[in-house]
Amino acid sequence: MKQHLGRQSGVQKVEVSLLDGKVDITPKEDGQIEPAGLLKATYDSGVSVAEMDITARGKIVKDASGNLVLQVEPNRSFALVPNDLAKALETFAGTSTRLTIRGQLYKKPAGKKKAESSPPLKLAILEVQSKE
Amino acid sequence: MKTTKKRLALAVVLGMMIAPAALAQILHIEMRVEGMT
Repeated sequence: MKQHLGRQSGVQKVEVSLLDGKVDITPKEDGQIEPAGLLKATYDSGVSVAEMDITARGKIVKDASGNLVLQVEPNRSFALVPNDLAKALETFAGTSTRLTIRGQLYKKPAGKKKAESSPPLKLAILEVQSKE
Repeated sequence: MKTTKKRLALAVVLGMMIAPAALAQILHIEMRVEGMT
């Protein structure tokens, strides 16, 4: 699995803890890392992903439907799960404030033995670490 | 003199192109996995 993930674009370092089933991925600064690709690479290596959390820095914008989105690069963004923390960030929508956010991008659905390999990824904010 | 100005302008343009990518990005990813041996 470590080799599968290490081959993905934008991945600088992969650390695997067999004891607690944790995988830490350090992205390269080129911004090429693709979370959906990491999920797929993990499944392809025969391991099931229970959760994926990310820490990302970006701007809050609204999409065409008025939903809040974290834009981490001009061409990459994550729709936000509309929880209380996301609602509190609505005031930053469309501003130049850059937020560092830790959130859950994927959680294996309860009761399903095998999760979908390419589920729609939505970011549930867990913590706002900084505002610049 | 003219060359210096050109180089300076080029540096500013390149800086504007690179800065947004450096400021907005995924910093860390953590996964919890099952079935790992």
